[in-house]
Amino acid sequence: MNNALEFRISASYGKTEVLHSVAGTIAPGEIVALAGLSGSGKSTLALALLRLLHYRGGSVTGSITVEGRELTGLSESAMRSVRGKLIGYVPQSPGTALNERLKVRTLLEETWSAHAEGAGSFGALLESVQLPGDQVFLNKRAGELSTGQGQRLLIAFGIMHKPAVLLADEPTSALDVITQAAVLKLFAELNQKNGTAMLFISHDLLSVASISHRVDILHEGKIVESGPPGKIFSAPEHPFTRSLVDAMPRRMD
Amino acid sequence: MRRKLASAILILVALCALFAPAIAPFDYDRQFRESPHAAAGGQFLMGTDNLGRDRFSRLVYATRISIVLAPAAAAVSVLLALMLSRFSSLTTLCLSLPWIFLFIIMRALLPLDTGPFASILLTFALMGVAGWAWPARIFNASIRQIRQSGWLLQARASGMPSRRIALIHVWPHLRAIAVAQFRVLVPAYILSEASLGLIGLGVAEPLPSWGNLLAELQRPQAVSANPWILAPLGLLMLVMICLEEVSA
Amino acid sequence: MTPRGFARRLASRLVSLVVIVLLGGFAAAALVRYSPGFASLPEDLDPSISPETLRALHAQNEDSNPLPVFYARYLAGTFHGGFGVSTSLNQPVAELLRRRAPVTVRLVAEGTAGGLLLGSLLAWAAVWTRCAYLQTVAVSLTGLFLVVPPAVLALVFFFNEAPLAIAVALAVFPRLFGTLRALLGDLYQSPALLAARARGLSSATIATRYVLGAASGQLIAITGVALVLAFGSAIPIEVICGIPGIGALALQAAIGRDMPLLCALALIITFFVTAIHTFGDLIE
Ligand SMILES: Nc1ncnc2c1ncn2[C@@H]1O[C@H](COP(=O)(O)OP(=O)(O)OP(=O)(O)O)[C@@H](O)[C@H]1O
Ligand SMILES: [Mg+2]
Repeated sequence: MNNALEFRISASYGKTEVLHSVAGTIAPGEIVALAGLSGSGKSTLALALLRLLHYRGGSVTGSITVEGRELTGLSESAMRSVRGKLIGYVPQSPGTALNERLKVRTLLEETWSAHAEGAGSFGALLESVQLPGDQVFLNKRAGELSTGQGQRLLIAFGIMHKPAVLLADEPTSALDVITQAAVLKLFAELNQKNGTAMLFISHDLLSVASISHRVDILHEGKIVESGPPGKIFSAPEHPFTRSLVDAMPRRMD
Repeated sequence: MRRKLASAILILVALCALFAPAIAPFDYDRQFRESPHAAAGGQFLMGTDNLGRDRFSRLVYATRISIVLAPAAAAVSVLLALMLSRFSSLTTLCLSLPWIFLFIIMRALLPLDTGPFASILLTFALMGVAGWAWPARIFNASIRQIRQSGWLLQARASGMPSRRIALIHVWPHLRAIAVAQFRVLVPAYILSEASLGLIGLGVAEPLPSWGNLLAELQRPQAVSANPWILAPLGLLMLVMICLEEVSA
Repeated sequence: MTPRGFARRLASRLVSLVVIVLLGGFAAAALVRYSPGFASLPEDLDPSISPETLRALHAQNEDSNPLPVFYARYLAGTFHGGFGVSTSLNQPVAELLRRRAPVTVRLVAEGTAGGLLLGSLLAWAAVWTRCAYLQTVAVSLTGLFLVVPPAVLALVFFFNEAPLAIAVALAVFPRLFGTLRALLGDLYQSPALLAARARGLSSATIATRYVLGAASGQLIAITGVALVLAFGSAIPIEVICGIPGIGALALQAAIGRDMPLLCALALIITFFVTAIHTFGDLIE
């Protein structure tokens, strides 16, 4: 059986290479957490997998396959049918990722009709990310949402078409602990119900570990360690992983 | 409150312009040869000019011309700006040409027997064409900003077709800029027409416009004899202030 | 920016400056040559002139060279000094310009200086004093002069025999006020200024180091804009008040279908405006 996602890519901005032949596989139904320092290239990796990095002024070489299908070399219009449908994406910064002039309703409808016919119904979807589905909310402009609300709306966009792979870039960074727990639970449910594979980017290792099957550590543009969360926490091998684990807050016991 | 008052005045002026034939007691070019330079009052509300034409009627018709054509010229500029904004070097070139100079050339080169109607259309069409570069530069800058925006990337990541992205996401931004530019250009063109009219390069006689009515100000003795000569200037400034107030 | 990067940018700017100036001259020449009124002469409307004389006049006026040839020859001529001979005034163009330019330069320079001074003063009053009364005065004054056509201002000054440079200044300052106020407002709130105040620096130091120093780049750019604005309002002012400057000369040239004079004016004016824009871009 094919892996949900398989890649080996290098990425650079101008002459500086920020990802050096980073390789990874995600099995169907697997949740992989990707951790690393700020600036280590996590967001770059997510954009590169969607083949959107050139819009940020970067370039990518290497190969990316989703469910056995090679993405590099696909035309822009073929890529369009992949984005949002096969690969869902939750961007890192909700503040800038929403077009502040548009209504929530418009954004939802447009995201829906990119890959589906007819009128979508969004009540259940919004409820699953703890957002109200009423008219007042739907008629709000995206610029009027709080950062956390914006982030949950972006999560809703990412999972709307039940993608085979979800790339979530710090999807809970702006949420309070209760909502964060609910969103994590939602991801776990989606994963169990639909078998969605996930690449979960976060530097908050502890919270991610609870739902992920494997943790990859990205350091200086390379994946330096990869293993189940229990092993990473109890017996880290790479010195960087060790310092990362040492720096984590512990229960006072 | 001030805003409401300003819009009310603007609507009133626009209505006067619309119903000019009903409001003006005489035709704009009817000459009362027996009473040139008539004083205000009586038959002539604001007196008559040197050719014995009723000033009030001419003002009403002038309002019609200025108030219709300045927005039209502004619309032409904004449309051209939208279409041409991608050619940034052309924009720079046109920004670098002092358009008042070009305008003098263009306007002075019109055949000497150009009819008055053609002269109005040409005056405002040339203004519209000459003024596109500035809004184009602003469009260009904001398009560059939109290109780098996070939401555009997000829209692409959700697999929307690019034509939908342009229509749903990008157009509302551009539309807002277009409206803002339009609002800036309308008063600018009203002023430009006034300056050109004063030099005698605007709308040609016998058609009245705010600009060529202002030309009467060049005879200060006449102004002290009949202060109503200042009426076009007052109306122009009033409309400009209201436009400013409404778009603020 | 590295010196090398700057040199590169300077070079590319200079190249584009030359290209724009040449294109500007060509545009003006093309405008004249292909305008519908090119062939018409003031004598056309004079019923006392016989048709034969008219035809002869037209033949004499017609330039048989195609435009690119004319323009190329014209440019070649300018390299050998002199801009050719004005056909309407029968004088060397260079000589005409030498006589007319100082008038305009002086009017524009004084108008720009006055406009900048007035604009800065009002912006300072509106931002720095934090006095609501002064603020209202500044905004209303700006609003008032924003809606008066520069030509009307010129007339008022002309008939009262007041210096016309003030009319130019009054036309320029309201268009600078907004930018200057925003600039000063940003400075007013800047953390650097706040820190300077917290350190107890004297107001003289603050004014020179933290305001003039911090804003000098933008101030130069604004001066460029002011120059272009002043020039734009100087042209109609010259025409109305009969000042023998470049603006009046341009009108004469256009009415007389004077190709060499128009081309020279277009080249010079385009150069002037483009140079200002280029300079503003470079120091940004
Ligand atoms: N548009 C860009 N142009 C040039 N360099 C960039 C650009 N975007 C990111 N970089 C650089 O690439 C590297 C990786 O950036 P990236 O955004 O992928 O980091 P990240 O791991 O997502 O960090 P964070 O946890 O802060 O989000 C950084 O060193 C950054 O400076
Ligand atoms: Mg990131």
